[in-house]
Amino acid sequence: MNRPRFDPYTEVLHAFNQKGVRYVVVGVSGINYYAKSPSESFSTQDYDLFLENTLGNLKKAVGILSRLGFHVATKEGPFRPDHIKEIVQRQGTLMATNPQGIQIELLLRISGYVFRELEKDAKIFLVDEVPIRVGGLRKLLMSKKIAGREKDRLFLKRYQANLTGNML
Amino acid sequence: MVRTHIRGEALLRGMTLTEVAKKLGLYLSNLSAMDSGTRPVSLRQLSKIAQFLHCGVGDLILGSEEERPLFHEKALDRAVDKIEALSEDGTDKSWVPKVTLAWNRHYVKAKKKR
Repeated sequence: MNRPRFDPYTEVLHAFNQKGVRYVVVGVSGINYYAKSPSESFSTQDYDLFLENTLGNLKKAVGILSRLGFHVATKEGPFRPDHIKEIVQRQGTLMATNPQGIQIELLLRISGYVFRELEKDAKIFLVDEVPIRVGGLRKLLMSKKIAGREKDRLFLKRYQANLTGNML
Repeated sequence: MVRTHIRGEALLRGMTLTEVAKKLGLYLSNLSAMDSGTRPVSLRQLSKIAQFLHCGVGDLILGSEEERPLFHEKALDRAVDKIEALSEDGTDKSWVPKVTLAWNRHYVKAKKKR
């Protein structure tokens, strides 16, 4: 049987769903699912996935990404499977990149919320009939506010301007 | 009723709510109801839980999401809540990853040019 053709992000999440990886799409990539049209969406290079911070969950996620042709690395350098326990313990971040330059970030911690809080009221959107678990809009924006980095503040300003424009 | 963050704080320490309930001699159903804000929790109980989890009582108390303003103008916060409420489960969003993909290609191209 032919495998359905998905975009790289949906292909990863389809596999995550099938193998029971617990994830929530977060960050600007998550916020974009709430846009009504492409003109309301925001530019982003990364696709951020917040994963439940357990050894089994991260192992499954990394295994799937590797099988789908992604190269997995840490912020400090190449990913070594024997370091996975340490990554879970320090709630680190992994970056997965495929040969086409598609980047997916695997986060084990985000500002302001633990995984369960994001997961419990996540929205389920459909992409080519694949269910995609996306964090609640208010929580995704609040996480950016709590993180308080320069890029987050700028993003919130842009988001606020969009909202104001839509309300006029 | 106060919503608490007992489950979250326990999870951050690698524990489940069941384990916390067991260690503190509480019924899991009661602790779970305290966590979700459907059962009142006394300051005494909270400080006992905080002591066990090695955190402050304040770390265990959550305001409702509505009590944590995002923007200075309340109307903007209401607009965010409205967008979220109108985004129903099962909504088709097939265009979103395609747009993300286009942005990614744009960034990859720009990087190559540099």
